[in-house]
Order: sequence, then structure tokens, then C-alpha cells
Amino acid sequence: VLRREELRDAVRGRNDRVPRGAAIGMLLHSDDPEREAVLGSVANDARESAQKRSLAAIALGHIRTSQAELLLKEIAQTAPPSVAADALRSLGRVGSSATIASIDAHVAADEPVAGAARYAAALIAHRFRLPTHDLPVPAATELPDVPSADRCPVDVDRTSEAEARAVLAALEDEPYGVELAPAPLTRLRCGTDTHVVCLNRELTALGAAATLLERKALLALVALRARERDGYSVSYVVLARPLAEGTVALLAPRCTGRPALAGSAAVSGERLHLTLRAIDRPGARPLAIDGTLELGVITITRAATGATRRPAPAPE
Amino acid sequence: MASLRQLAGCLGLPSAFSLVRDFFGYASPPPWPKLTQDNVPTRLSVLTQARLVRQPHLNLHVVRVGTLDNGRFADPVDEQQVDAAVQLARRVFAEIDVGIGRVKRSWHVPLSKGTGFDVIDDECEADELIDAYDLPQDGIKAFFVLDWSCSSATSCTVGHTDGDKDGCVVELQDGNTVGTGRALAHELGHVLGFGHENDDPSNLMCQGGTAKTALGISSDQMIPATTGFYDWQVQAIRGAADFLAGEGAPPGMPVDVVLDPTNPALAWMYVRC
Repeated sequence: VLRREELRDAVRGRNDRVPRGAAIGMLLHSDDPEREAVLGSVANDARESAQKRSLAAIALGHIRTSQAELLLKEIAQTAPPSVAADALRSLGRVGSSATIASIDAHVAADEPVAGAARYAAALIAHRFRLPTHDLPVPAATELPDVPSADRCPVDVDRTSEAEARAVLAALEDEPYGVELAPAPLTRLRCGTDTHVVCLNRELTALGAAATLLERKALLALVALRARERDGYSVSYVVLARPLAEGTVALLAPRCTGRPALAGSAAVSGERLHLTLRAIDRPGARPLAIDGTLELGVITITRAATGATRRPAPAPE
Repeated sequence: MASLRQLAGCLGLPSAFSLVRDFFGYASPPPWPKLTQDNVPTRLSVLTQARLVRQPHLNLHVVRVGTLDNGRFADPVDEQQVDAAVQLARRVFAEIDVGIGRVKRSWHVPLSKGTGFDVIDDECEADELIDAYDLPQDGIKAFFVLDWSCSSATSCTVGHTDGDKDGCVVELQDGNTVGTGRALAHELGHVLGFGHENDDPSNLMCQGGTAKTALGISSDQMIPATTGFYDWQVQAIRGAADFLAGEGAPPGMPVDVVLDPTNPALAWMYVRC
């Protein structure tokens, strides 16, 4: 057990009793009123390595306060690109709608800052259901089906109450600014991977489906069960935006903001008939999910993944 | 015993090879002066390594993530830690006569590529990293990253193996080479098909945080890097190796349920130099 000052020192790298990463985790869960300032001092310290500054910026993205938001905006402005990109992704998770303007200032930057800014702004726009900051929807040709000869089953069921509580408790550490619907949660298992779909509670209410035809929304978070610790982290963020008449475009980037799944949903009364496919990109595995969503109840009619990933480049 | 040159040929090394760089796959030989922790290997044994590659052995494609454009980490400590972690993993698996054969460590992902993979945010990003790069299917992909974000008050992730079991990501832990080596060996255990054995803190497949708690080890102390494998785990490895080598595997014999012989990353099992 570290005293408050010792923990702050450990985060700043001045006390090696606890590794810095662990110290940051402890600080996040502490009641230290200075935790944002301590993390901000690391992220803004030009003498620190880019990685340690990124760790602090990522940690600030787990604190949903205006102070964290302000610090992240500052870091995005002043830090080197790799750190700024992490700060922007964090801003996308905890930022208010007023933050979008400052994020937009980074869209013209070089990569990886520009991509992180586009994703962060889109995330906020979907969370606050704003009409701006659409992400591009892939063409149908970029969404191949799972070849029948290369198909692996995906087991679909519901979590237990206990697992649902564990998932929702874990996601409290990963603020995305939406309240998640309680159990039962839908679970998809493929090999050793377990994903749990957590719906935005606001969109499970009567009449909510029709609003998807009018405004974009953060429809759900998908949680991946960690293999090396007890817990879950966000693996996909399911975004919806009005498309054509009666239809909603669905995009599900990975946790990093990289495009991953896309599809559409036809809205009929309270029911969404949805279809999702993996975007054809290097390293991606084909995935097909069809089903319905009605008043918070997900019914999967088809779930399959490909056994073979698309070829990816070699590192240098 | 086969000559060193014959063993090198069996491992696919060029006829003119360097013992340290090619036969072991290290950037520099021990002692690694910047690694001051107890139990960090201080010497290499050619004889031991030659013996191990005549046993079932796995190959590694080591990918260093977050290097400078010249392919090296900015801090030489990190380069030494990669080598020491692999040597620790070699020492761990040597306990059960399983070798780590060829280690190709020239792969790298420079910081300038802007991938963000030098700092892993969570398991999802680790999966993304493993899937983002293909490597020859004659070895296991082992990515070394510089940092791993921790948002938990009680447990931080330092390694991850993907669902395909063809690759893993390991954090180069500051000042903790033994922990890094143990994490690599643990993740390789997953690639081999083993799950967690959290009831036994001395088993390599016990999660690090659980083992520390059970052993009463504080966060600044190290878990011993040994396999502590149960007999059935050893037999599973040997059995699958024998099966794939065509030894003692009569037609119709069921494939071991733990190890997946169709995993290309485990092609090492066919080879005994």
C-alpha cells in the first residue's frame, strides 16, 4: 500500500516500488484529487519518453471529468504525434460536444494524428447524436461474406447475471459516455474469444428505434473478455447513422478506431433487422452477423467467421 | 552428435553464421550489462542449445515494436531485455526438454510508422497488432512492445496471446527482465495450447498477478521463471510432438485435445535436428 505522495511519485517515475503502469492503474482508482494533474504532468513532460506520455494520456481517457478533458486538449496540441494521437482517442471517449471544434483543428495534421482526430470527433458526434462528423461507410464490395468452405461457427447465448455484472463493472473503467443496458447480455464465442454485446440503454426504450432514422447514435459497445486478467475491455464500438429511407448504416471500429465491421439495419417499428460484415482489409477475418434488435433484445439468426485471415504485410 | 554446422543447416541458418546472432538469435551476448536483476542469464551454452534443438523445439519470429528507423530501440536496455527474455524462456522450456530453436529478431515496427502499437491500450489492441502483420509460418510471432496501459487497480496485463494461437504480445517491463521472460514463456504456453492453472502459483500457466498473490510476493518482487508444469502438461507437449513426428502414433490415434497440430506456428514439432 502506497501513501498518496508515494503513489504520485511512482506515477512520475520517482518511486520504483511499483511499476509505473501499475501505479497509473492504482492512481486511476484512487480518490486522489490531483490524479488528473499528476497524469497531465507526465503526459506534458517533454523529458519523458513518448510511451510514458502516451500511458498518461490513455489513462486520462479513463477519467470523465472536465479537468481531464482540458488536459487532453492541451496534450493533443503540444505533444509529439504519437502522444497526441493517443490524447485525441482519449478525448473521443470522454470529451464533451464542445470539444469537437478543438479536435477538428487536428484533422488536417499528418497521420496518425489526423486519423485519431477523425475517429475522436465521430465518436463524440455519435455519442451526442449530432448531425456532423460521419465516418465513411464501406462499399458492399468491401464487405465480403464468409466463404462456406472456410466457415467457423460462432456460439451465441446470453450471459449469466453474474457475468453481465462483471462485464458492466469492467466497462465502468472504460468510459464512453453512455449508460449500458443491464442483463441479459448477448455473448458471442468463437474459439477462445468471448465477446459480449452491451447496448446503449437509451436505445433500448420504446420509440428509440425510430430515432436512429433521424440521428446518429452510439448503439453498443462490445466487450472482449481478457485472457490474462479478470476483466473485459472494449473491442468494438457500434455506431449507427441514418442512411436511406428506413435504413441505418452500421459501423463498428475496433477499440483503436481502426475500421473493422460495417453493415446496415432496416428499421421496422421497434425492430432493427441488422447485418454486419467484416471490412475486407489486411489481417481481417471474414465475419457475418445477421439478426434483430428489438427493445433491447438481440436475436442472432446467423453468426459465422472465416477460418482464414486475409493476408497482411510483414513488418520491416 | 551432429556438428554445429549441421545443426545450423537444420535450423535453416546460412552456411556462414554467427553463434550469437544466428544460432541463438540475439543482438548481443550476455552478460547484458544494463540488466542488473538477479537471475538474468549471464552466459550462453552452445552445448545446451545444441541438445535442445535436437528435441522438439519451436521457432520464434521476434518483432520489436516502436523502434527507431534504424531498427533498434532508442534505449539499448530494451534490446538487451528482448534477448534476455528469450534466453529466460529458453531456460524455462529446457526444463521439460523443449527447445526454442531459431529466433529471427530483425523484424521491427518503427515508431515513425505511427501505428500506435508501441503502447498497447488493451487486449483488443494486442489482437489488432498480432493480426496486422504476417510472418513466415515456420515460427511463432512474438511481439515485444514498450509499454502496456493499465486501468485496473489490482492487475495489469503484460502479455497476450491471440485466439489463433499463432502469436503473442509481451510488454518489456521496466526493470523486470525476469518478469518479461516469464511473460514470454507463459504466452508461449498459451500458443502451445495450455490454459491457465491458477490453482498452482508455481505452474508457468498461473497468471502472474494470481501467482504473486498466492506466493505473497509484492509487486516489486519476481515470480520465479520456471515451468512447474504438471506431468500431463509435459506429456501433452511430448505426445503431440511425437504424433507430428510420426513416432508412436498409430493410425486413428486421436490428436491430443490440448495442442493443435494444425497450428502452423507449431511446425517445429516436425523437426528434430
